[in-house]
Amino acid sequence: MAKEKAVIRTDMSRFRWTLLEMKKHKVAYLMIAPFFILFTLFTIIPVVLSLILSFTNFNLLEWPDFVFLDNYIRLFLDDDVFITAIKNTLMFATVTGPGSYLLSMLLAWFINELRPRIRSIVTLLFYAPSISGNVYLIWTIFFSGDEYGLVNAWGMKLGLLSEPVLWFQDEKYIFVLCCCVALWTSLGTSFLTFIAGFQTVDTSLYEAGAVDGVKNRWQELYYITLPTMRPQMMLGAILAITGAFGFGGVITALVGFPSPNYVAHTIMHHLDDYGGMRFEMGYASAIATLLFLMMIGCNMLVTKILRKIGT
Amino acid sequence: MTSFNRTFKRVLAMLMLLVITFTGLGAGTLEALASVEHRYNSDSLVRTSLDEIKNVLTSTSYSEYLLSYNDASMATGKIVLDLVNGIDTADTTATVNVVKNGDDLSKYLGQKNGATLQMPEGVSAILLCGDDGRVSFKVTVPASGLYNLNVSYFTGNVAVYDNVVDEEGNVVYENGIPAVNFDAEPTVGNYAAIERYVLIDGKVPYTEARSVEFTRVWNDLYTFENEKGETVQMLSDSQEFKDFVKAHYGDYENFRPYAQDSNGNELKPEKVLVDEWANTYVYDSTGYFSDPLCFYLSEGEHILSFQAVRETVAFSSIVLEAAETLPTYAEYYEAHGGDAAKYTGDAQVIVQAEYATTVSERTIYQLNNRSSVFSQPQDPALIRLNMIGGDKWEYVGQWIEWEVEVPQAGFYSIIPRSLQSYYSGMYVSRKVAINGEVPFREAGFVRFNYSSEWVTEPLHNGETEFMFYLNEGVNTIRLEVVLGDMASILSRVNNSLTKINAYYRKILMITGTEPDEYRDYRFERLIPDVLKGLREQAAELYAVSEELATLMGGKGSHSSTLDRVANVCERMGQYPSTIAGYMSTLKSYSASLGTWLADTQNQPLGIDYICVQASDAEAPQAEPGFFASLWGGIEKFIMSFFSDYDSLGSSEDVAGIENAEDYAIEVWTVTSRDQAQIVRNLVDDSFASTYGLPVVVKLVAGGTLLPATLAGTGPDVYMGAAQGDAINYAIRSAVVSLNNTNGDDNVGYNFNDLSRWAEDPIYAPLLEKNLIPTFDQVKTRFAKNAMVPLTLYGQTYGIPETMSFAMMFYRKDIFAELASDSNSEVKVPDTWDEFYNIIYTMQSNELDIGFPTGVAGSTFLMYQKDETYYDQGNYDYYLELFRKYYEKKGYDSSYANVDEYLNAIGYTYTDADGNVIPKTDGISINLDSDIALASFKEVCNLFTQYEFPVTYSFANRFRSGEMPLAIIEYNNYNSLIVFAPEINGLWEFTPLPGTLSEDPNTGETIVNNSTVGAVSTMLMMRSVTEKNALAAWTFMQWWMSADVQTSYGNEMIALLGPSAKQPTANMEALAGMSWSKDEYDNLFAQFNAVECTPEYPGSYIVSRYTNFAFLNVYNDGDDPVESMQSYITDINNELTRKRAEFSLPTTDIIKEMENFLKDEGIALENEKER
Repeated sequence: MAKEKAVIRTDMSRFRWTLLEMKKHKVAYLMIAPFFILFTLFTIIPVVLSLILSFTNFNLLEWPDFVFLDNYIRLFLDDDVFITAIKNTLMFATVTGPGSYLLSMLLAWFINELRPRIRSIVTLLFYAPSISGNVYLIWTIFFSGDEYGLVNAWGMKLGLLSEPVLWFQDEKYIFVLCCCVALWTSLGTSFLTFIAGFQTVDTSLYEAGAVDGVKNRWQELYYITLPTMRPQMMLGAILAITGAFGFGGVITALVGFPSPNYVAHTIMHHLDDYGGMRFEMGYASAIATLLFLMMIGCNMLVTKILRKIGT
Repeated sequence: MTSFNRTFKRVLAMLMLLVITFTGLGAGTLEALASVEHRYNSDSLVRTSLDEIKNVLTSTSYSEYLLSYNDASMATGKIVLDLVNGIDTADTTATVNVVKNGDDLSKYLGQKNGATLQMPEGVSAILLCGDDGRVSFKVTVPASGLYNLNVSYFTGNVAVYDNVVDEEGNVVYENGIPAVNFDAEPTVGNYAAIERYVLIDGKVPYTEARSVEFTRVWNDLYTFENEKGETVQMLSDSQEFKDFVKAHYGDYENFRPYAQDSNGNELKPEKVLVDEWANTYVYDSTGYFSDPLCFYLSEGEHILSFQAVRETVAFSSIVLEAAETLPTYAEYYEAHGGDAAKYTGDAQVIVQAEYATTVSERTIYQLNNRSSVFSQPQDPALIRLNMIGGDKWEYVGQWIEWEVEVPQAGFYSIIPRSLQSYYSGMYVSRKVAINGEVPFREAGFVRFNYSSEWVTEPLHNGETEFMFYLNEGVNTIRLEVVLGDMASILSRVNNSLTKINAYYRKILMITGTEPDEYRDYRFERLIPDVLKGLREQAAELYAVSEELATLMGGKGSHSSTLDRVANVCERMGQYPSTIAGYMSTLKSYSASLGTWLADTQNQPLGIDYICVQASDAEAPQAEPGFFASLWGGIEKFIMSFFSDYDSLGSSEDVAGIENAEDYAIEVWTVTSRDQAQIVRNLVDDSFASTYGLPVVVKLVAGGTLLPATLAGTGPDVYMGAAQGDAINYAIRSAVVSLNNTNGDDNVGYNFNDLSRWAEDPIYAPLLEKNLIPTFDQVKTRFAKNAMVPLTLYGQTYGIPETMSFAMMFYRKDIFAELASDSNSEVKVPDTWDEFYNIIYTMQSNELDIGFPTGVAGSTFLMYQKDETYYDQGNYDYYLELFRKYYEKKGYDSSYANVDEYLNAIGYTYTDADGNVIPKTDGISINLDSDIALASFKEVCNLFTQYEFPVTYSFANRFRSGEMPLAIIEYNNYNSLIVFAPEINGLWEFTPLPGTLSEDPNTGETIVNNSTVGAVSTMLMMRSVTEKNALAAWTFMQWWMSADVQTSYGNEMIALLGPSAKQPTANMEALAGMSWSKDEYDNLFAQFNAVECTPEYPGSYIVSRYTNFAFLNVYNDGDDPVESMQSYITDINNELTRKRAEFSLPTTDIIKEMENFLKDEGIALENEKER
């Protein structure tokens, strides 16, 4: 799109012009106001506050004192666990973020091919794990450390294991298991939006594509389907990113807090550790700020990649 | 590979066992122990010897017993036991008091209820038995036969005084009566049901005789405003209450005898124990047999004994006779005049079921039911106590009694409006007694069928609707929970299950918990009897399943539970090669059968009212029509917008206090609504009346304390905080200290010196009457170390609410079995040496032992060796160091001397005795000391070398007998009581095994069997002011007083059932709960030896890293010592960082000071290590 040149008005200041415009569209502003007030109150202000707090020492119960960059310096130079947490978070994010994204999309694509009645049943089947709350706890039954835990019992019966393994307490298995659970539960909202996205594609485009020389289903997918459903893909991507970075609660429920030797310690956990357990809110805010920045960075990256699809 | 490993281990274990036996090491230690003293008095004197256990644990069931005396007939004669001269003194171990006619009864009976009493008519002497042993009687039987046991006992609490004993410990007799020492405190009953074993000639004849219960009788004490607006109190079996009920037959709307809270909800009346004499036959307490239990006595001399399990008891008569047989309904009907005696008038007497006169247990109370608009009475928004029973009235033997007055004698229909919506496809049973007697045989089990709605049907047994002959005037109707037709089925299933469990264990002892399917264990040769038994039980279960199907009119889920187990047993018995493969299936199936058994024994039934009317009259309508219920629903829905469900009522305005808000305190509790309501009621009843201070109790969600305190809207008192919270909040000045002597109100108040409030007009009268104890007085209510985790550098920041600690649970029956099976010495371990001996015995029988993992386990060992958890260096050294450093370096000259300066910068504090103490405790962790590392290694070895399980479900494995020994928190008692009723009486908990050490003074060997406790706590928050601080303290000490904690504990049990026994920290209150004598002795033996780990800034990190260390050892086979050492630096760094945050001396600072002094050439006189 060629950029239009803005008309510069000289008869009034920019501020006055804005006010005038606002007055003209006051109904629109009024309509957005409820959301905007809540959004400011519960999202923008806390983010800003947390940013400010990250420069202080704040124990939650006494007045904070200003320490400038101390928290950040400590984070990067004097906190091994934080480095582990960054590493883990990135690893989780790279495995589960794109993993769940591709999984959702591919499954949505397959399911879209089914007949409507079967499609709704299959959709429910795949979507069920993510609506039914703490259903991932079923994994603790499969992988219980008890010798009567399902995997242990079968492993020993088949002679694969000689003694019960504490699956969720053993550094060797925690990470892999948590990734599996994450992928299993990740077919959530983004999966539904993808299915909806596939439905919105105008079928006449496929005909046009066929005329224009699309040779196979893959080309159809890449050149027609995906570009048409870019908004849904964007939403899915954002959900996948926040999901991947914020994937802490499930790990805590499965492994406990903190995980043995911090093998599955993510930035979220580190935040909880300092905010909730050690009452060091200033430090926790610094962690939160970094997490926030990381998410924004990823988001920008993904937006860029998505723009390339179909070109 | 694995099987080789196992064989190798087994051979090794056997070898070691042999070595131990032959060297006599085991035996030597055992003998040595007999004379060993227990430190802290924590010896449990009650460990029943295994021989004794064998006498009590019979495997004969009652049905087998009856079968073996098949040809014996019921006795014809009647043997009245002589309660004074008939006592077999040689075999009597319990405390015995004899009261003769004319003695002062009030000393003994009706303790705590203060009733005036008389001897029952025609009785010249009564016998009181303590809860500490057995009472035996000599019985001369004139003719052989089966006898029932008829007992008259006292339903109230009984006080039993100690007997006078001579030097040799024998009881002194005066005039043939045991002498009594009235000076000592008597043992008083604790309101629980009275429980005894019955022994004939020193042995329990069959398993059912192991638990014989005599129920208590309870009244409601109604306190309410009557029509004239006066507050009146009446007991539910008093004449005035009966008159009241009679005056309100059929009228449930206008006037109710219930007190109301500030919102208008009805409150439950208090329950009061009834002091009266009751007469009953001895029944099976599980309800499997509906007739009184029979005991076969051959002609000649016998000894009949009652062994105490629970409670003291007073007997006025014990008679052996055959119970009368009941007439059939037809006989009964004819005997009372048949059709001619039918009542034909149109009187309809409706008694509200909530106006019961007496009940058998205090857990049976009035409930609110909103499921039907026809429930009387009903309010769309408020709580109306409109029914009784429900799932509070489901255990065998529980009964409720009502009184009705009918216009003339005759046959009436009794029509309860009842609700049995609990078990679909099943019916529940009740026994009907009119005027104290079951009128005919069929009334022994009337049925209530399943229905999702309320029903009004005359009492029936599924075939006949019965009429009951009522006298003119007052009649009592009693309904008692029985198992009815299900009894025989359940009893057979129970027998089978017990046997199958025993077989399972026998197989387990051969195969271990991980049976190898491909190995030939040669079961046919090793355990042919087990295989035969399995086949028999399979046949038995199939038969039972058939019978059940006929009874229920078809196969259902019930039958399939039975069939599954039967199928597995059959296959295992027929094809021994499949046994290994079926073991885990059998385990899970029999567990589900156990659950089925426990569930089916429950017989819940709710009753709204009881209608008595002519048999021809139409029964009252049970449920409203469609439109009436629709309208009721709409009404409720609309009202739900206007009623306040969260507020618990408030007594903000207490009459007579000016500026009440200055004294008002806000208390937060994080429990369920019901529990909070109990707190509220206790405040209303007891706190308000005693102290008259305004209190608001609020129920909050967990995790709200921190934000609320942050926002400045927090409470004054917070209940139910975790152990670490006290110090965590305190170092951030959110909690105030309770014994602060430095005068700074921001730090805390000194509740040892209440004189600062003495002038206050509100507090003055309370203080004058000595109603508010001081902090030090309150401290004595708890275990001596309970304050440790709540105290930091001399300041205590809370008082303990609950306290739990690990004890050793073991299965008596399995120990007895092991002792008879193996050649080695089997004994419940008293020391760790014995514990190791037991490991070998257990493991050679493939049984597991439960043990706390990692540092949780090694802490016991450390404390038993007097090793501290944190470093506690020499105070003198640190003081000298601080002083010399600052004297050399110089300090703020505005302070008079260096000590004052040190105090001001928070490096030292002055304790209550005036000693200056440096704040150096907790500066670093002591888990790297030699003893600590050795202990940690020992515990790790238990898991790596001895393969103790790390994760397991204790209740399940203990129940199945796979894990007959476990060291675990004592409140697991609760879950066992409810979850595993089938092993009641087969297990016990005792203090931990101890470490032997030499007493430095006397040189004697002593056992230290300390355990480690954890507390939950009650905090006084920063928001208190000088004015209401004392009110807050008054509330805290009141809540943790013995009376209030006892009431709270009892209310909790009443509300949530027996599994809700509170592990209260108040030792007197805990003692007041319904423990059996043995349980009590063991529990308090351990209570005397509880250590608590202190809390310091940063201590949350310790458990985290020590857990990492343990996992490294367990998962990766790391060396325990190295693994632990690798984390010590991390732990100490965190401690240092946290201490620096709160300007406490840290290891870094100490090091700096030491270096400085070294450079300056100043030497220190004291040694660093203590």
